[in-house]
Amino acid sequence: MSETSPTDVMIEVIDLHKHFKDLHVLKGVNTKVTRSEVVAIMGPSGGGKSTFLRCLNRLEEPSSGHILIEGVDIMAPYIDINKVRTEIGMVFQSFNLFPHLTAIENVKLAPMHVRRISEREATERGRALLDKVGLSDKADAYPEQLSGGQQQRVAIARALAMQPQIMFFDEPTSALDPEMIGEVLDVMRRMAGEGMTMLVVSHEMGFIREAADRILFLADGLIVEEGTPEKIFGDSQHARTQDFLSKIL
Amino acid sequence: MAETREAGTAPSRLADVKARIGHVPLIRKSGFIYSFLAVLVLYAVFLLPASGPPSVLELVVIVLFGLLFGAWAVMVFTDELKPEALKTAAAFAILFVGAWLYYRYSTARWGEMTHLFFNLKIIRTAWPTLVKGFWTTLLLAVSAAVVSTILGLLLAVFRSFNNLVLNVFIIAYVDFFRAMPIIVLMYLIYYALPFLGIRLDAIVAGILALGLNSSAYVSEIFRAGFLSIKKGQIEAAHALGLNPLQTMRLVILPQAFRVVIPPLAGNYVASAKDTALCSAISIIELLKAGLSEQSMRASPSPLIFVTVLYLVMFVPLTRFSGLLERKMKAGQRQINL
Amino acid sequence: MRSHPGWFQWVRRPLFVTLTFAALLAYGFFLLPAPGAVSPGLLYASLAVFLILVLAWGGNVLSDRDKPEALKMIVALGLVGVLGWLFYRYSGAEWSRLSGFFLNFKVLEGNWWYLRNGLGVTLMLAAVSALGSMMIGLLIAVLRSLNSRTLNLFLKAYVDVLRSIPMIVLMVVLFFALPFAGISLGSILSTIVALSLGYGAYASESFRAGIESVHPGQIEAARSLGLSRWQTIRMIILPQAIPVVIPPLTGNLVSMLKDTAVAAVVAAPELLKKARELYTSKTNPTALVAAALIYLAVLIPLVRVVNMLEKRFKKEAK
Repeated sequence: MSETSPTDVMIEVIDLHKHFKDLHVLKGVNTKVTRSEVVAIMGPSGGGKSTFLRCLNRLEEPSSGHILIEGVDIMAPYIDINKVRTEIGMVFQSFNLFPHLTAIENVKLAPMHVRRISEREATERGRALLDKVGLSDKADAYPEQLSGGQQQRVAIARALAMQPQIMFFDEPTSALDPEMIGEVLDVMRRMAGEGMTMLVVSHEMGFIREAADRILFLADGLIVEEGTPEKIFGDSQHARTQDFLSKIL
Repeated sequence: MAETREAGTAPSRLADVKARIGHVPLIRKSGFIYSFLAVLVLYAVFLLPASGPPSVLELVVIVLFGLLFGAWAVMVFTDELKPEALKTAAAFAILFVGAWLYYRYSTARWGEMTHLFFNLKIIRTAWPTLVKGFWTTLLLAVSAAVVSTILGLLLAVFRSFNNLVLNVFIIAYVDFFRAMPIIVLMYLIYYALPFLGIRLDAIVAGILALGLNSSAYVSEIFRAGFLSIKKGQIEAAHALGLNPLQTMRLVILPQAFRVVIPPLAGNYVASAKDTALCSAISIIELLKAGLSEQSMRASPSPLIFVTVLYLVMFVPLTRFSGLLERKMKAGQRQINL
Repeated sequence: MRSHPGWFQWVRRPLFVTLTFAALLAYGFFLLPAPGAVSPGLLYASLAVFLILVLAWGGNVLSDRDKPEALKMIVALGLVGVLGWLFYRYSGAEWSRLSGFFLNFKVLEGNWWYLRNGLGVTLMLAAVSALGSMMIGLLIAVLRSLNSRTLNLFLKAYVDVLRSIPMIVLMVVLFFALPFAGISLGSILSTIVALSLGYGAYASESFRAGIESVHPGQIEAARSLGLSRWQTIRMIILPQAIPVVIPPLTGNLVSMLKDTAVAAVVAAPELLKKARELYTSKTNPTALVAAALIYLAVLIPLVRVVNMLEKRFKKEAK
């Protein structure tokens, strides 16, 4: 692995633990993510994949451990977590668009009120992004008028409008009908090609094989195995990984 | 390797966040919170005026203390990182400080106060009247429930015939009794009707007023219950050869029953609470019993006791009917899936 | 004709319906005793039987889909007519006294201003208490969203107690019992405090339902975009909670208006109390009737408005 300068390590996770009442969901996860890396997180359900991702922007409160985003320990008390979150865009399984706003209003809300740019600039940026995800004609539509795939693409545009350094995807295609999965994966592929740092929790093997630089196999709260797609899919070392892969491939 | 945007250009945008790490805002510092508390204690010991009714200037000092104390509590409550134990202590502290301030500066004499409001001896002598009042309340509640259920069910059944003429009358009835305040209805029945020659006993007047008012709501509840049965069920029943009476008995009523029970329970509980209004037309139910004993013995103890009784009766009942309504909503959601 | 098995078919046949109609007619004309002619027990019994039979016969005709609409209209009118006639004959009312004692609006001449003042006080009480209850309700809902366990215990206890206590008991305690503790609120303040505290509890539940109606996923999305807690409340939660909250809040307002009449018991100078005073001074219940009509005139349109709002916002909230 080539030498990585400090600003290249976007995310560093040190001994992350998470308890839900009596359930010990994350049992000491350690990993690093470098700039422009596309990391896929796989594993059996209940293994802690979503919880792990959501701990990284403190949507879930970690029980112990350290998380460094661009060198900043976000577990520090009284840290301005809102500022940190502007650097991380998140796309959810259930889209979570704001139903009382149109697509363009969804996209320009955060840039206007968090980054405090002018409405004109936010609208320009928003229209450009909606164009980029292929939805420029739907700018004034409400979420309920859009299909699942269209809503998810608006959600991606909304996250990108904040110009984050990192993008999180929590099972972005799991709630979509099969014919709409492709359009969303296309957008994600393009983003990876442009050098965005991405963490993706997903089961989409095709996408992972093509676009991921590294796969983290998370089971029972720990990273059982990690490596390139060729290594994991072709020559995995652990029985657990092999067991999981045999069930889904 | 893909071209990295902004590689090595401006420093991380989180630089200012990083710089502020370890910097705790003043109002969140433990030191600040505890020294503020110490200041408040010193304020109380040295600056608060002596007990007894305060002058205007002294009142300002007291109110200022109260506001500062409130601000301290808000600082504690809104801080997520402060331990729950401290927040609990702050909650109790607000109560105690408030009560203590009131005790210190009001004209009330507190030793006498407990004796005044919770005088067991007086309550014991008032007991027979209070017990009679309780049974009257029970009688009123049950009778009103029976009357309103029969009337309400009849109205709902006739409404389900969808006859234009009947609907006009029934809707007028429901609007009338939902809009009319119960106490006004009671006054009309008990004080005004005698001038028409209709003289009713106070208790009958009370039951009539409560029953008529409640029947409007009951009819709407049953109506919603009937409407909740999908049309397809009725058609299927007819296709199977069931006549309307059998359909009503075997298909509609059992299903409507389940939909109807939670809001009906809520309605009966509300109606039972309304029995207290009967005190306005001189029915010796629980509230009136308490009031008359209070004036007879010049002590608020019977009234306070009656209030406690109402709470003991209705807090569990209200909770129970609320639980029923929530269970029904949850159940319905599952069915719709 | 729809075919039903067994005996039911016979009940629907026109012959049966006509025969039973004739029987009821005979019962009504010959078997119903005049008021006062027989003992009350026998009178009520025979009336009850007659009433049940009439309703059953009417129900039989009206529920039959094969009967012509015109016939059902006539039957409906007849039903209402019979009920009215029964009331007219057997309620013991001396109908001649209606205009003299009941609807004698001349008695009120020159005194309408008295009732109008009462109405003004009623509306003022409702308006002030509505404001007070909404402030209390909002405060409680916001405090509960802070998710502090002890605070929530106190708040839940407050809401439980104030939803369970009858409003009249609360007003009476504030007005009659509190003076013993040195606090004399007076009738108007007692009413406002009682209404605000009581309906504040209901309002807090409505606000809570409104806040909870917003899908938690949206709050997560808003926070993950970097919006602060306050910005999320202002731009995401509030716009979606308000349509959910308006119907129950306006329903509360209607109930509150009705409860201002209860304040007559604690001598508040509102409409009902003024009507009572006029009733006593003129020994004529027309004032009470007038007050009742005024209440209806104000409340029936309000109830309709609430119904309409419920329907409109239920559509939006979907």
